[in-house]
Amino acid sequence: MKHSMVAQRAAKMLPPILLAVLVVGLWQSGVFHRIFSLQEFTVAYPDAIARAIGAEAEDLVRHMGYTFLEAAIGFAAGSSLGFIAAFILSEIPWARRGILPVISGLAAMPIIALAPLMALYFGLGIMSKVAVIVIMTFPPMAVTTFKGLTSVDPDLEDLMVSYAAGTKDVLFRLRLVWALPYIFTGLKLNVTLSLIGAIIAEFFAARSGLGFRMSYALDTFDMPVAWATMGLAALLGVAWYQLVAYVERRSIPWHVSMRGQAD
Amino acid sequence: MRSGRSRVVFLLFLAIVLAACGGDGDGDGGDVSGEEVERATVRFQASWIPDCQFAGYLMADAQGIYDEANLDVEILPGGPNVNPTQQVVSGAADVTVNKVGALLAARDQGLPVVGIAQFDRSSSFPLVAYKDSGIATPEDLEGKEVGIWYDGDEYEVLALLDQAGLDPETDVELFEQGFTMDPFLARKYDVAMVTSFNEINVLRLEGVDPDTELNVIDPSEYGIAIPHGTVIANEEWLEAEPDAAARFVGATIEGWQYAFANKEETAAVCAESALAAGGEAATDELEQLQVLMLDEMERLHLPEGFPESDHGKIDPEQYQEIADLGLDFGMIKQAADLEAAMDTSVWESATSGS
Amino acid sequence: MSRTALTSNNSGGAAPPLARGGAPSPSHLRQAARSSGSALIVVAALVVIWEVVAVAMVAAEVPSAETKLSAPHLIAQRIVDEAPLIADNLRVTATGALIGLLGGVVIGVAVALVIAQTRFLESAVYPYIIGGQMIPTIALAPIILVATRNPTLTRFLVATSITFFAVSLSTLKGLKSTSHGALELMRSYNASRLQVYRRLRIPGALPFFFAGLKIAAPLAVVGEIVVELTGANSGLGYTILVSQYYGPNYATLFWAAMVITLLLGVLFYTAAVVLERVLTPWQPEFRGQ
Repeated sequence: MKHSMVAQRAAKMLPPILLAVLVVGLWQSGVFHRIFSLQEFTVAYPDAIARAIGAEAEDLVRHMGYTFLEAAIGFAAGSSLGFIAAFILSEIPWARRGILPVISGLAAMPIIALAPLMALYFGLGIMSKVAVIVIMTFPPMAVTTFKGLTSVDPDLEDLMVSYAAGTKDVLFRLRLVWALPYIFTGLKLNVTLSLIGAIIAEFFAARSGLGFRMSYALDTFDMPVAWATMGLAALLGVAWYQLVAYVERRSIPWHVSMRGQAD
Repeated sequence: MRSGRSRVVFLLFLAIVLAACGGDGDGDGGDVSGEEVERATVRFQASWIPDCQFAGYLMADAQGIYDEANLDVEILPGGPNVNPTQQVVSGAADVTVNKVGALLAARDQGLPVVGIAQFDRSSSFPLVAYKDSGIATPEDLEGKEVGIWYDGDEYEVLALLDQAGLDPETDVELFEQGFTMDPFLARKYDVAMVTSFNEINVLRLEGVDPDTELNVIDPSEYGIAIPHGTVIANEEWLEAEPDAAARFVGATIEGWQYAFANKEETAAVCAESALAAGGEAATDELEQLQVLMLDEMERLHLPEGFPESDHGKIDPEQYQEIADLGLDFGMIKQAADLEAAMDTSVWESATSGS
Repeated sequence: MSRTALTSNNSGGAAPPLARGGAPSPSHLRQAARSSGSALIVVAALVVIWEVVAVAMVAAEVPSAETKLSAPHLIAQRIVDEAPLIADNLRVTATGALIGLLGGVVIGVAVALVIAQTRFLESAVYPYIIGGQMIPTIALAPIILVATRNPTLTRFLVATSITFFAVSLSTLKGLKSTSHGALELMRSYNASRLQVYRRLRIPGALPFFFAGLKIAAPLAVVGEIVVELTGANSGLGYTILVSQYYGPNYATLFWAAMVITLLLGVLFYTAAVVLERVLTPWQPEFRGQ
């Protein structure tokens, strides 16, 4: 039983790894450069990127840690607030249709304006970055959770009530459970937004972090390092995302999309 | 009629008139479309928002000076998300203007760019500190938070710190401050890098008078200067179109001369260019800022005692000093080959009136 | 946890496999009017609070008060004063955002449909879609500009890339969420692959697609703003940049542009909601509340 599960997991990782090998191989051999007439300094070769990572490994890890910390704190705060807001809204029928669009409008706030603004409020430390991330992660969580809480089949609610289920029962046994897939959708989205928010916020008023290192490398033509930081950001994001996906699998194994062994 | 000789005579006449009247040209590029001179396209990448920092280019365009020189110039706007030197390297633009340091750093990476003119004579990126913070000299920066711009502008500061015996990693807290002065105005930190042509005027108009409330730490006063205003051209383009390059430089110099002699008019053009037209109230306010910017650009291009006939000329000695400085501070990793990095012949032919 | 009640439907609500249409009834319209009315009340209340806080900040001589939070009446004044400027730039941003959204939707749906076909493709490509989102477009934009040497293509790619991920991921999830019972039923009727898609998979995926669209819509505005910082000199993003560069004198212009951007985002979101309502009225949240 255990062996087949390990084999299964390994088999699942094979396709992306194969794809990676293929792409990196083509990239290193210069195929993409030729097809799209790219210049070496714009799109660095994988070996140069690898060397850059090796040369700065310690610093890069430090930067990654800092960015992840910002992102995680913002993620937790923003998602929680979004969840609470969605919950409140789902209880106030007359307010929902109006407020939800306003909340989503918040999602349109360009980070490039938010970052300096938050620096103005919170100074140069980690708080200003966290504030940016909270603003970015709040709306998606609110929107998806709201949809989850309100998309329960009313017939099912009626059924529970007809069994004399109390409000708390209906809530916890029906509505929240039903909303879980949506909540996880929101959480997975917020993983991305938190990381991107952290990185971009670090383009302003920062001294360390993946975003800072990235912007510095871009400005000083250090393309291998720039690509390295982008790759590391992607890796960090994928790892974090898979963590949330794992929790999702364990929490809602009954959901149809889980059975397709998707995530 | 339209022989080569009469065209040379006309150009000489034009040059004399312009020099005498300080740029009274009214852009009549009419009937001198030479059979001898082919019309050329030049894509100029502005290194930031196209305002009076680029007045010479804007006015040369607006006054038809480029047109007269048989150039179709496209001015590409810059911004925080555009790397002007990379634009030139990739061929998306033919020429840009940036710091000497950017030119040398690019060449250090083996990128095919060449400097063909030098407009600023001194540094335009000083540090300012609130007087009440007591910070007045580089030594005072120890232990302080200093907002700077890391996109190649930081080397003057690094040199300053080194001169003062401070380690930028441990003795001072440097950080990337972004392109807005708001946090500095809100006293979130006490020392900021500014441009002498914009931010310092923004502060002034906001009631923070640089003369009475700020201490200015100007690297030039400490013998350190990496000026802006270096016209950087794509090497291949330069080899293919040396004449167009020379005409571009010449027309640009004329554009600057016109701008300095007609500041009100120029300010209006710059304000419109910056705010992309449409707003009356906003552009009026902005014009004030643009006039101040122009004053400073004039001081940078033509400081006291500097001969006007050398406007835009490259000073190889200055470049050598900067290259040495750059090598010391990691701006470049190997000694610069200045012969290859700059081409003084372009300015020469631009200003010799031929 | 009652398994029987929950396993019989996908989480898109009790979606009937055969798409049922239906225009909103008069009672629904009345309800919509009522909730818009209440929305206006809420918004009005927020604006009042905003005004009070902003004025208080100035009165209390909070440093940079106007930049931190400009008062609504000043913002309104600025919008009126600068109407042509704002209108021009709004048009640029709205058009760009729309194109980006359309591009992201088309490419996102196409990619989702393609990789949903085989499990191998899906598991190979999926992690890279996830990872690709993490690369900030603002860093990639100048690289794309330099690599393509084509500002128009760059604008399109940048604007599309931000919306692509939300749409493709949610559509993919939707395509995989088809109820197995319904699938079996269709197979037992010998339905062709195309029929299965038309009648079952795609309608079933619609709620998920719209969830993604509602997230992507405001993001399209953000993407367009990023585009405008990459060598443009028009648009609301450019206005925001310029007003930050030229200092506190332009604080109200900054806030005016921000407010208009927010409203544009709301508009895009609302359009997505309306579209959802029209195309999938059978969803539980639209039914007899």
